[in-house]
Amino acid sequence: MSDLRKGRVSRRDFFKYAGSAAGVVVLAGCAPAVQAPASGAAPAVAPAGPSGEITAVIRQVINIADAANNIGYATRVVAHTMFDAMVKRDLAGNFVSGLATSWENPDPLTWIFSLREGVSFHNGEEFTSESVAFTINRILDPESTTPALKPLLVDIDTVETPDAMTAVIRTKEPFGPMLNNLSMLMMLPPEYAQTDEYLEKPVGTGPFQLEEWVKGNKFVVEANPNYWQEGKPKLQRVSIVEVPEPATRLVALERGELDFVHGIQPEDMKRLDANPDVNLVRGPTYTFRQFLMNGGRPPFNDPLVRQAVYHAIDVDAMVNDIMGGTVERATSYINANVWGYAAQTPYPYDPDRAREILADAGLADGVEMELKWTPRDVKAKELVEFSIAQLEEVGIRGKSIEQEHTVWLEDLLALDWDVQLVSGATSTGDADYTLRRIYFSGNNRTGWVNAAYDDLVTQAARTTDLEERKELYAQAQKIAWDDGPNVMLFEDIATYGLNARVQGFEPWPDEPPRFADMWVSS
Amino acid sequence: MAAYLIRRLALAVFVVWGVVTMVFVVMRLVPGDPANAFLGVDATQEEVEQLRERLGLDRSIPEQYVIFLRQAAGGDLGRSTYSGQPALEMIIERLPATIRLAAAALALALVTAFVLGVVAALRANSTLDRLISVVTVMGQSLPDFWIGLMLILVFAGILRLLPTFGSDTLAHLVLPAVTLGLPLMGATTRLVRSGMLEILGQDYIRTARAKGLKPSVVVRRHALKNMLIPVVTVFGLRLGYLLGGSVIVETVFSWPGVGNTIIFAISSRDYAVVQAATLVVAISFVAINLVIDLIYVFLDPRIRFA
Repeated sequence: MSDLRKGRVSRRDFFKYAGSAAGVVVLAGCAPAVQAPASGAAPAVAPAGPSGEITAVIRQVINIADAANNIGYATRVVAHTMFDAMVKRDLAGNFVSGLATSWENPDPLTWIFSLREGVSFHNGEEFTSESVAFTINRILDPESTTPALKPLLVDIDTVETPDAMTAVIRTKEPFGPMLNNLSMLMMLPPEYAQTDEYLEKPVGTGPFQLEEWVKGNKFVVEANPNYWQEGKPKLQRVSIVEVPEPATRLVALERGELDFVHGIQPEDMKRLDANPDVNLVRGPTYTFRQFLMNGGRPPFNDPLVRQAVYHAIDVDAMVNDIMGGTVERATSYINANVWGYAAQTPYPYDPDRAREILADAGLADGVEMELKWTPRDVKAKELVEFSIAQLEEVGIRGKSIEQEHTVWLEDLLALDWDVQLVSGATSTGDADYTLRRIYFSGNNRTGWVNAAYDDLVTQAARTTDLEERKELYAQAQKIAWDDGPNVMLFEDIATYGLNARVQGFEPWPDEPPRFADMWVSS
Repeated sequence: MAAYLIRRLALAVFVVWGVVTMVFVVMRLVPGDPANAFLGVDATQEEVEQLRERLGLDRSIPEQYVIFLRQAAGGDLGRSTYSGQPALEMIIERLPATIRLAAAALALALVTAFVLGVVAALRANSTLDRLISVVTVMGQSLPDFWIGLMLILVFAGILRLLPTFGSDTLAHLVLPAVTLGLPLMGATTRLVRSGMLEILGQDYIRTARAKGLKPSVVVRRHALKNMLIPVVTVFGLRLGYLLGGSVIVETVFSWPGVGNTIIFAISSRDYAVVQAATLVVAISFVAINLVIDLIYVFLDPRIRFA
């Protein structure tokens, strides 16, 4: 890791190192200096059985614990804590076995999964192929009241259960993101999940089982004594508590009332960095921030105007001065940690060039536009004011319109905007989720229409060969970068504060902490 | 008295119905849609339409209102879009924490305000009076989030006497109750002080003193009771507000009350939860007002039900 100390390694390389170094708890994402774990910490030896407990704060409130009916961040924390999927991804992005021990794809429309034997749910129900069929059909049923994951599975035709330990999934068309999307589908107990009680006291096969849930306040889990994976979990109990006020969180973390906090305010980083009792960890994400320009109405239906905007905004100044190094400049339409990412060349900040392009577009007198944003996004006001001032310089006169989040969302989906500041994430970690959902013209989300792009992302979804898919996404990203409706600004860096006694934590790009890997030194 | 009570109860039902109806309509008229809010930035228009249909939002507002009234009459206020839990249950299960905090804050404010107010009135214009006046003005004017954070910083961060957040033990109750009680304490102290000063100048107090009663007896038996009416009024109104939850104090101390639930429900347009909360708060408010009107009679026999 000596290169890291010299500051020569990019953030992406760094996370690669970090991912492969088991037990690394302190990462310095973009800062060149790497800290050793706090001095005086016990040697990092994991206990033999589950022991110790931690109190953790995650980024959002747990409202939905039905892990097969939501892919929001908080529900995914529950998913990774209490549930298992058939297929999992490791930190390097490879598919590894979960509740399925192996799988094959004998033809593009058929997926055969061999299931793990002897696994039971926390309530004693046995995990079999019926669980797989039930979990998928519960979502795909046209009358389903829990259809939130349907978009991820929509190409599935049938699930067959030739025997208790084999599940066969047939798709209507070849479906490229199949394994990835299945890695987000947590298996449910068929009998219990049909009761109302399930919503209150969910049950999975995962490393922890629910002990107590006070809505909006705390979510407490204890080790599952019968967990199928040897050596996990290492903690006896995890209390996920809700502490909405950042200043309260900070004091509680410093005092040791909290052991784990996901999301440290930029202004508190320095203070925590200097505290020997707290380890500050920076990690990758799947998120991005962008200005989305409406390709369906003037002036942004003209690709030249969109390019002019790109050249008119000094994104590097935003990254360094406004976001204070908690982000990194975006280099494609998806985050660099997402599977299928292909790097593009950033547009240089060049106001003169922007003016020329506008003149070429016949708009030398400038244009008017409205820029809508919501204060829920971190530093949104500063980003908007900065950009409006810069756009004014080249003759694009913008009006800032602040909107309550829900109102802003309604306008976003109704395509009622010239430009919007949008904060997004490729929640599944697969390029398909963002590239096909948001920019595929059939979904009418941006007003931008490009037939070649539409073809590429559709083809990529219809291909099960991973290398081929990657190549198609690379081509699609190139088209979007040159012609698309966005100014891509930056990607977030996740921040975590850990009490020095907490060991084994590794930041995952999808962000939910994996409590099953963590333990505490005595 | 019975006729009065019946009339008041009938009126109460009307008020609650009016409030609930108003909130029902207003929530649907303000821009922002529950389906959008639930599905977030990644949704496609098709998914939003499907969810709207499932939530019954594709029907007209009068149609939705009729369905709502029919279900509400049977005690069913619908389910949260987010958790799928019955909305009324969500509010009711968090009410005890809110009541506990509100009661602690009120008790604290009441006791302190009476002690400080009486002392300030008896020593009017002394240094002590001015000191109390400074404290009460600060209590009323400093924003509660600031007070809360300062208390955390000092008592949890530096002195390490009390926990930072949570609601498990009595120690957890201290800081939030003080934060919530301070403004009320300030207002009430001033009310007690001015009420006492006015009463202490009245003829019947002079008479009481003249017949040789001890000053403490004069204050307790003759003066205090007569200045309770404005205090009870203020307290009643405050209690009503506090039952709606003190969002800021709940947020700062991570207190599991209804305030946060209501705010989240409003901002995410979770109609059923907002309606259930409105119903519960409206009923509490009306009930408290009724109780206070009854208390007046016991405090001042001259007040009669008409």
